[in-house]
Amino acid sequence: MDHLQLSRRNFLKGGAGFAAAASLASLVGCGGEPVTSSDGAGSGDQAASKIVLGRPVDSNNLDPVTCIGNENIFMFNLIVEGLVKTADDSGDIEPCLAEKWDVSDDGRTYTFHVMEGLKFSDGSDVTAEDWKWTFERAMAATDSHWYSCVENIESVECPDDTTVIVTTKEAAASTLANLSIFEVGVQSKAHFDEVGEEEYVNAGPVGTGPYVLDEWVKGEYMTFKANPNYREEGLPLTEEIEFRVVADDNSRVIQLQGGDIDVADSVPFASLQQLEGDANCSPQVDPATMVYWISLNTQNEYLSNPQVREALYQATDAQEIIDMTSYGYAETAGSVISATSEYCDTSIEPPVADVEAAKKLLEEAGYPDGFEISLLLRGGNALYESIAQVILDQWKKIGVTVNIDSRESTAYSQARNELDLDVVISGWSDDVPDPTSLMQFIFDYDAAFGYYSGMQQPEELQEVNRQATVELDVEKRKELYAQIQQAFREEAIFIPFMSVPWASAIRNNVTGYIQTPMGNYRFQEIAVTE
Amino acid sequence: METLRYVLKRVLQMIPVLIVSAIAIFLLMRLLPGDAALATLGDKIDPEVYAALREEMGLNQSLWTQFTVWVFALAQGDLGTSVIYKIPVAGLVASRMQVTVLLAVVAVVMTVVIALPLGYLAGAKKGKLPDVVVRLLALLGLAAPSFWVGLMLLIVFGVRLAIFPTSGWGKTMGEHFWSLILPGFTLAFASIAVIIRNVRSNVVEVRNADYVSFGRSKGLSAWAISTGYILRNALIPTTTLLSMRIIGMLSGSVVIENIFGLPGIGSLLVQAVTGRDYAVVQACVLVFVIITLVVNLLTDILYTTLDHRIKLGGNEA
Repeated sequence: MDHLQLSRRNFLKGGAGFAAAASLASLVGCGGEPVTSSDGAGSGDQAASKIVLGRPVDSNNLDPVTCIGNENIFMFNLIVEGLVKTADDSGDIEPCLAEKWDVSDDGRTYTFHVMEGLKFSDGSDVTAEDWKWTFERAMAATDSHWYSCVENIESVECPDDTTVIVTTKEAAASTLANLSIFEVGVQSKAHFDEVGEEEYVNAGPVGTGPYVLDEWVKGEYMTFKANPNYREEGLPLTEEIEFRVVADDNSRVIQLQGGDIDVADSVPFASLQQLEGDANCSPQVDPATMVYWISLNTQNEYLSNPQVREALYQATDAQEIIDMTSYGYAETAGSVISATSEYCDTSIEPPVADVEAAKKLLEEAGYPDGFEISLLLRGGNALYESIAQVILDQWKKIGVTVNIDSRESTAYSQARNELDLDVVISGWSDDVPDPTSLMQFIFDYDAAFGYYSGMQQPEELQEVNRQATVELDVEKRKELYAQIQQAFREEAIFIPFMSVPWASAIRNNVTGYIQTPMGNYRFQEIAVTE
Repeated sequence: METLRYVLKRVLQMIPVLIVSAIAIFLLMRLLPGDAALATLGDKIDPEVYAALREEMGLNQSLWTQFTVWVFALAQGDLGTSVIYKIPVAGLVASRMQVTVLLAVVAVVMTVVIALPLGYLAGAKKGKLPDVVVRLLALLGLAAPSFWVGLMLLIVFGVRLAIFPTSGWGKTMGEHFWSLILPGFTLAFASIAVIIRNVRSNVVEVRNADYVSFGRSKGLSAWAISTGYILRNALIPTTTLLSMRIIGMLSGSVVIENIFGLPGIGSLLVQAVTGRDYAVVQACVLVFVIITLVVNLLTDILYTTLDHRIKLGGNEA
C-alpha cells in the first residue's frame, strides 16, 4: 500500500500547484483594473465618475434614419437633440433646442427659434445647413421605419443658423409630437460626409446631446463620454457611461447586487419584487406607453362572429391577469391607446369577467359547448407565457379551449406577418407621443392586417380617423379618438388588459435615472454617489 | 514521417466533412421560419420597410444564388458580413472564438487537475472513506444542472464574497483569466464528475492486473508503479472520454456564456440564430465542426504517446 501514500503526496502537490495558480491569479486580478464601477468618484469631482448600465442586447445601428429597435433608439437622447422633446415623465411636448416657435394661421407652417451659439460635441457650430440636411435626409428616406414622422413635412427652410421653418403638407395635430423623433435631432453634416453613409451606422451621429460615443465593441459594450461642449454648464454630471450587454435576466440582477453594474435594464417583474427588500438596490419602474392586448383574428370561423368575440371579451378579467403575472408593477388597461396619452378614452373599463353572461353569448352564437382556438405566443418571454396561462384558464371557464402556440421570436413574427393565427397577444409602445402611428397600423389594412384583427375598418370609421389625424383642436380630437376606441370596443376585435411600465433596477446610490415614457434614456443628471 | 503522412491524410478527409456540413447548415438555417429582416423589425412590421430591408439584405435572391455567392466568397476566405452587427463575420467570430477557446482551456485544465487525483484516490482506496466521499461528490456533480451551479457560484463568490467579477471578461490578460475562473469551473463541473467516475473504475480494474503485480514483485517503487503502470493504462479510456467532453464543453459554453455575460462564440451563435444572421451562424457552425475534427485528430495522436502498441494509420498506409 506504499504507492498510495505517494499518490496522495502527488495529489497534494497538484493541489498546491492549483492553489498557487489561483492566488497568483488573484494578484493579477487585483493588480488589474478594479471591478467597481464608480472608480474615480473618490476624487471629489463628481464629473469624473462612471456609470455602468446592463441590458439584454447590444445596439446594432446608430444611424437615426435607418435604425430599428429599442436597443438603438433609446440611445439617441444621449447623442442628439431636436427642436422639441417629450417631457421626462409624460407625453407633453417641451422646448429643446428651439426656445419658442410660431405657428401660421392655417396651422401648416411652424417657425422655430433655435438658441444662439449652439455647438456640436466636436466643437463646430450648428449651422442652417446642418438643420436643413438633417431634415432632408430623413424626408428622403421613404423606406425608413420612422418615415411616418416626417411624411407630412413638405419643406424645411433655414434662413439663418437659428431659424428653422417647417412647412407641412396639411395641418396636423401631431406635428410637434412628430418633431420630437430622434431622426430629426440636428446632426453634423460635415461628420456624415467624412464617415460616409455606410460607416454612419457604426460611428453614429455627431450631435448636441450630452454624450459622445467613445468606444463600441459590438455585442459586448459601448461607452459614452461627456460632451465637453454641452450647452448646459455643469452637465452632464457623469463623465462616462457604459452600456454592457448581459443577456441573461438573472445574471443582470446578480451583477447589480454584486455592484458590477449600477443600473439593470429590462428586469422581469419577478426579479423586481425580489429586489424590494434589498439593502443596496431598488426597482425603478417608469411609466411607459406600452399596452398589451389580445387581437382576435376575425377571419377565423368562430371569431368572425361578433357575439363570440364579445363572449371572449367578457370571459377575460384584466385585474386577474395583472394580479397573477405582474407582481403589482403593471396596471389594467381598457384601450389600445395608452393611459399616458390624453387621447385615451378612460370611460372604457378594462375587461371584467362575467362568466355567466359570456356563456350565454356563446350559446346564442351557437356554440354552447365552446370550441378550440390557438393562441400565438412569443416564446422565451416569461411574462407573455404567464399571461397566456391565465387567459387559457379564464376562457376555459366558458368552454373555449386555448392551444398555446409558442414560437421562437422570429418565427412568431413570421406567423404574424402571414396572419397565421387565431388570437395573439399584441403589444404597442409609442415612439412619439401621439396615437397617429398606432392608428395607421390598425386602419391601413396592408400594414398589419388591421393589427392582426384581420378586419378592414369600415369607411365611416376610416373617415373619423382621417379627421382625427388633422384636427388641431385637442378637445375635438379627443372626441374623434373616443369614437374610434368605442367602435373597437363594440366590435371586440381587441381585448386590452394591461399597461406595462419600463422595469429597471438601480443601485441605491444612483440618482437622476430617467427613462421617458417613449423609452429614451435621459442621462444629463444621472450620477452615482459614494 | 509516418505520423505526418497520417495527419495529412486525416486533414484531407476533413474536407468532404466540411463541405457536407456547410451545405447542411446553409439549408437548415433557411428552413427556419422568418428571416433577418423580420427579426430586425421586431413588433412593428411595415410591409414597405420589410420589403426594402429584404432587398438590402439580399434575401430576395434565389436560394441557389445565395448559396453560390456564399460558397465563392468562402473559397476566397470571406465569411460575409453580419446583418446584426454590420461588420465582417471573420473578425467577429475570431474575437469571440478566443473567449470560448480560453474558457474551454480553463475548464479542461480544471477538469484534469481536479478529476485525475480524486479519481485515482477513489480507485486506489476502493470501498474506504475517501472513495465514498469522492463518489458522493461526483454524484452531486452529475445531478446539478450547470446553469444552477453557475448562478450559485455567482451569488456566493461574486455577490456575497465579491472575490470574482460577476460579468464580462475584462480588458487585460490577467482580468480575462480571473473572470474565467467561475465560468470555467461551472463548465468543468459536470465533466469533473464524469472523469472522476471513469478514472476510478479504470484504476480499480488496472490495479489488479497481472502486470501491476509483476511490477510490484520486481521491487519497483510505488511511484513508478502508480504513474508508469496504473495511471498510464487507466488513462487511455479517459482520454477518449475527455476529448468528447471538450467537444461537449463547446456546446455547453452557450449556456455558461449567457449566465456570466462572456462575449464568446456560444452567446454569439444563440443571438445569430434568433436574429437569422445566416452568415454568422454558418461561420460559427463551421468553426465548431473544425474544432471537433481537430480535437478528434489530436486525441488519436495522444493515444500513441500513451500506448505505444497503438499505431497511427495501421500498416497499409
